[in-house]
Amino acid sequence: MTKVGVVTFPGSLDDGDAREAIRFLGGEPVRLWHKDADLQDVDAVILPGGFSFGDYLRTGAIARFSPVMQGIRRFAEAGGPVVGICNGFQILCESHLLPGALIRNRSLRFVCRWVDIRVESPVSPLTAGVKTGTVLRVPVKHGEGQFVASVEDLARIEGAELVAFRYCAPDGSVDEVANPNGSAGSIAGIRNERGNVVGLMPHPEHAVDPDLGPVGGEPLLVSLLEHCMARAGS
Amino acid sequence: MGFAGVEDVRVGKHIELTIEADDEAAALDSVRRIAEQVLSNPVIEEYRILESEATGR
Repeated sequence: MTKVGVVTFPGSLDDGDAREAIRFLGGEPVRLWHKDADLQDVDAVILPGGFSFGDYLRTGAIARFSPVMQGIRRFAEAGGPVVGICNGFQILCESHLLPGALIRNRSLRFVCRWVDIRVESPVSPLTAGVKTGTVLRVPVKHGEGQFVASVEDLARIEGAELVAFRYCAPDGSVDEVANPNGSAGSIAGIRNERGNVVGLMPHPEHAVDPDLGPVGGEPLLVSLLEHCMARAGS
Repeated sequence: MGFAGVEDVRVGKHIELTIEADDEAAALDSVRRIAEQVLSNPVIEEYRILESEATGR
């Protein structure tokens, strides 16, 4: 069974839902504590949402120094699939495993609502099994989700097709109205150049059970599990 | 609110560090490294080290 490690930092909130979503979709969730440098032979790692270390200095700034991040850096360098969701995305940016940063929403208000996102690249563990252009309904809930990067980094992100997801209207069109936080290029998530590390602000783990609402997260996490199985089989 | 002449406003963080070091240069070097590696994110922030004051312990 595919083992997916879900890291718990002090202040993580969505680690429970991430584990439950993995279990719901047929994977085996493994609890990883932020002080564990050993990843227990997991096939993939999820850095979940929440407010690690209270987000007091900057989102993700302290979590980056947790011992588990050394193991995750080695795991990522070896090609292991790493997914950062919300605060996890912020941690990946602070760790320089992904380019750019997340700053206060342009509205300066916390945003908590359903959004539609369009899959932009098949080169990531979350999107390998999802057709590019697919529109998925998933929730966002964040105060600091506005993706920014330097002019050079943004050009590189767009040029190398590192954008994994963009906020969009239900019909898939990208415009500022559908952009919940003012992110550059309506970017909701990006991947690294190798394609094994991906981060996104929306929460796929909150959208897998049809009894609880839209299930836009299901194809993404199914893709992650299938991607792990394919890696294990190769 | 009746305050004329305000053309711009910004809010930032002011962080005070007390450093134990052999001399002022070494202390400033520590502060610079801490500012670069922890206290600021160069993608979105810039920092200035304002002043130092030897306590002469």
